[in-house]
Amino acid sequence: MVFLEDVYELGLLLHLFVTFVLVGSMTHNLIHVSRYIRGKFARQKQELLHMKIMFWSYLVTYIIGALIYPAFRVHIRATAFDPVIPWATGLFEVKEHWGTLGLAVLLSWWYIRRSINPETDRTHLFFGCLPLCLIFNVLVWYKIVVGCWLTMLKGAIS
Amino acid sequence: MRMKQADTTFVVAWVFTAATTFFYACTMWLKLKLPTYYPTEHTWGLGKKDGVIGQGWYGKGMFAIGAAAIVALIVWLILRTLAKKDLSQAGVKCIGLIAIAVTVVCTGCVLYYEFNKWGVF
Repeated sequence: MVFLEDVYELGLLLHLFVTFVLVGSMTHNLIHVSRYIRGKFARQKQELLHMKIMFWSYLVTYIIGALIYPAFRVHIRATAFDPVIPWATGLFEVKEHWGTLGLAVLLSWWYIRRSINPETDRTHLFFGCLPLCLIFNVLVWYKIVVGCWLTMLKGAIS
Repeated sequence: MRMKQADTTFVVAWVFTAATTFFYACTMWLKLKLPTYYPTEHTWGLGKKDGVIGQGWYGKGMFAIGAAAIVALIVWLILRTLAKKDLSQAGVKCIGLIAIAVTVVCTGCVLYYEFNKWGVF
């Protein structure tokens, strides 16, 4: 018996549902940051709220993913991916590694954002928050697309 | 007079991000032996074992984030004790661009390593 094997599918669904929250808050944040770039600073409170939601939803998604990983590793990757479609393992491995890098990017983004005023610290915004926001979006969208694709190939333990 | 909070935070945060991606890429390219979980045996060990399924991802993440946190802490202590002036705009741009370059290159290295290993290319 592998760790959390019995509740793997439930964990995977939760992982997906919290990702919906993450995508919503992340997209709102991208819009807020693009407004700042155009010199519009009216919705800072909402932006900070979306940042908070994004941070916690990413953390919860990450933890659920880490918890269900052993069951996936044994029952799906080792049996269905590695020997038959190794390229799928390659896509998955990058998804996992980028998950950890995304955590570092998000922590830094939050840390910088809390200490600056977008209206007055424009250089910090352009060379701190904006690139971190874009890098985070790229990492997370890769994870979402690849995660959904691999789950379509083989998502459940049989 | 100390460096202003926004500058200290900017430098420390970018050092943390760039160092995390750098250390993460190092775990792959240098093939470091890090804590690995063996899900079928319910045990932890160092590195791969022949014929046993292992999960090195947990160890890689802990190592990269832990090492980067130590580096960031050292930088924060240095800035707090030694830095007397605020960063110039050019300084902010320079640090930002170098950190973006390190982060993007190391993140790309991670992708290249896995895609090459598993025949995606």
